[in-house]
Amino acid sequence: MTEVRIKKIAKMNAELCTRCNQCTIACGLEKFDSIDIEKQYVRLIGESDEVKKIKLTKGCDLCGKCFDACHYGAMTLTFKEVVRK
Amino acid sequence: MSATCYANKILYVDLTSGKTRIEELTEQVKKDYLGGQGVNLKLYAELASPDVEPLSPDNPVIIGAGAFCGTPTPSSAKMSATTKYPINGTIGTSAACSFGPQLKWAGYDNVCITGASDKHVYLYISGDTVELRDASEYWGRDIVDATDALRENLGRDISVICIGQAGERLLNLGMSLVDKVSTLGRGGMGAVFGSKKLKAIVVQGTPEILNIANPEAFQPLQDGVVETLLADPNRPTWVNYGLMGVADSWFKGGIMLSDNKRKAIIGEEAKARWGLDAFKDQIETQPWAPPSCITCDKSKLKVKKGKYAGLETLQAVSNEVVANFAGPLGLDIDEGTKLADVYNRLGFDFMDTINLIELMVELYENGVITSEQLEISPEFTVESVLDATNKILNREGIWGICADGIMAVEKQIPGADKYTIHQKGLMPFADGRSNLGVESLGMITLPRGGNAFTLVAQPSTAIPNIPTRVIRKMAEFHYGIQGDALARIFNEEDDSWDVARFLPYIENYNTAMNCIGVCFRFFISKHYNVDTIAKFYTALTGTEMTGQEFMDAGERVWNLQKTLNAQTGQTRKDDKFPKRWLEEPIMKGDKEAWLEDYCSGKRLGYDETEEILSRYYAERGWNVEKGIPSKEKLRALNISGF
Repeated sequence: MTEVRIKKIAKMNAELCTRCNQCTIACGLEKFDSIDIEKQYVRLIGESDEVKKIKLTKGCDLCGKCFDACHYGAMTLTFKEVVRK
Repeated sequence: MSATCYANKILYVDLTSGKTRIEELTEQVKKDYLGGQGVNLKLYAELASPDVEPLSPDNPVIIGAGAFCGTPTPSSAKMSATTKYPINGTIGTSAACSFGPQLKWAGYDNVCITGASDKHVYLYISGDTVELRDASEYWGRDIVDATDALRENLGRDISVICIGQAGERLLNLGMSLVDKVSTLGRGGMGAVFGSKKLKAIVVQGTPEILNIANPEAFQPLQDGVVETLLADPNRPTWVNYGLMGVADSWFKGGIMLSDNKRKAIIGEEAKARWGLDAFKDQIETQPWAPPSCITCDKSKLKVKKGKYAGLETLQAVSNEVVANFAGPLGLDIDEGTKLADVYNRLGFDFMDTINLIELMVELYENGVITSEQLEISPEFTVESVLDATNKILNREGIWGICADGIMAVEKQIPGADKYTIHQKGLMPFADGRSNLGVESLGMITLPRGGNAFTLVAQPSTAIPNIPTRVIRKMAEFHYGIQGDALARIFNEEDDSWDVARFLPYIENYNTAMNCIGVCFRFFISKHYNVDTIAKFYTALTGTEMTGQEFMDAGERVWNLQKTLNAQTGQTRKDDKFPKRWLEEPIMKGDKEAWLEDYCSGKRLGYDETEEILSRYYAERGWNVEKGIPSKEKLRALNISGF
């Protein structure tokens, strides 16, 4: 039997992050129905005003809203078909 | 949690007593003044008397987040700061991006700061926690160091308005920076902070915040603006190079000026030294965006070559290192970047300070002051400019007069007034010579003085020879101008348009944009118009608004601002064209560029400019003789109490 799955591949490039926070706002609105910067599954991690890492935390189901909201190329979500026999 | 994009709270902080209180931002105030600049001015009118001294405890500083701040509306991060400015005694508003969203996330729409502390403090705001904290470890430090130290101590998710040494020492040239990058408070707001011993205002978000009244209506609006923003072929250039993206056009049009605004910097040689290619060759950029902005123009610059290789600095607009420093002073780009960094750190208004340094050299060249008085080399180098800057900071010799601004120089140095160019004490960013467009006329009519408020009209008439049909299209589509107003502005017989009658609508629109906190830089602004803004407002707040009501709110706020200044004695006599605009040309190579009508090219003198002002006041429905709002106009706009 052949099984076809869609695999989501998330790529983060912190060097391209401008800290515009559109990803965190998008996550809050999608998951918590409010613009709540404390409650989101996307975290911009670093020191001072640098972003060293973009992290998706526990609870994230890769809905893709944060990726759609990033217009600087720091977060991209692509899809790959995986075939298992 | 708020049901709309407003936090519905105004925070009052008295620095003298340390007491705070919270009041509701009422529905009526939101309806009439929207938010941001509008609510700031309304609160200022309630808190201060017209004769308040700018550096007295009785002069409030009011910080306001735009109505849309904190939401995903594209480029909606603008905040406003309102006070009486010490450089010229005007009451007005500065705007910056960042801080607005964070203030909302911290639980407030506006913060009113009154009184003065008896020790150095910073104001910390996070929900119910509002504290005046000891700033002794930060006082005396430059803005970048102090902000970094605050982040280290408080966490990186704060937003900070901070002053540097220029503000601490009460220089009228002192301003603040928001988050180390966005300039705020030209005209001495830094000194107002300094007079209150207030080093910084810090906000930190809390979980209890905002919402969108009608998400189903909001989403397609957001998607629409995002789509057009992303499709803009110029976007990569704006993002990576900010306004340097249009730099090459300066060397044809002669927009960048040197020698105290006497000469235009034009030609291929200038472009090779200061244009976009030279910038790219010497500077590495990393875009910086405030919350919600998807076409940012701010960058961390890193110098790749030259004496200052390795220098890193956050700059509000990349072109400033060229347009305000390197070009006018005849320095290399890396040298301009060094100066820009120092000025940001110290919190100096670079426009007026560099203008003053150029002025002092011209005074020396014309024998008004001696070389002993000048004390620095008249040939501009990084060292001589820094020397002059430090002398201003320390109020040494004749440079001490500069610390109080250009009107003080006129008053205290006999003969200096022949060489000055200012409007109400501020250097006009857009020079009206070669063509008088809305940007340069706007430098004259702005109650606060020659600041860059209408610098960003649609289309930008800093560019000459834009066809009238293009301007008319923008007037109708972007600003919603119709009917009789259109007929007064546009003359179909000779295919011309009247800058004096068009300007009020741009002022109203930009004012209303400051109230909602949406950026009106032209690469953002062209993706919005009055009708889309009104739809955004309706979706975000749940309160119906039309494009006309949006413009009406802008008109109301502009009139309130003018009325407050009229109460201080500001009248038509203060809306003066700089004498040098009227009597001297700018040299563009060997050609003379005079103050000229945009359409006809006819030279404008004293009589013509007075007629322009009369038409401007008439279009506004003001008392033409006095140049201030009439009682009928205030009544029509529902502005009372004056």
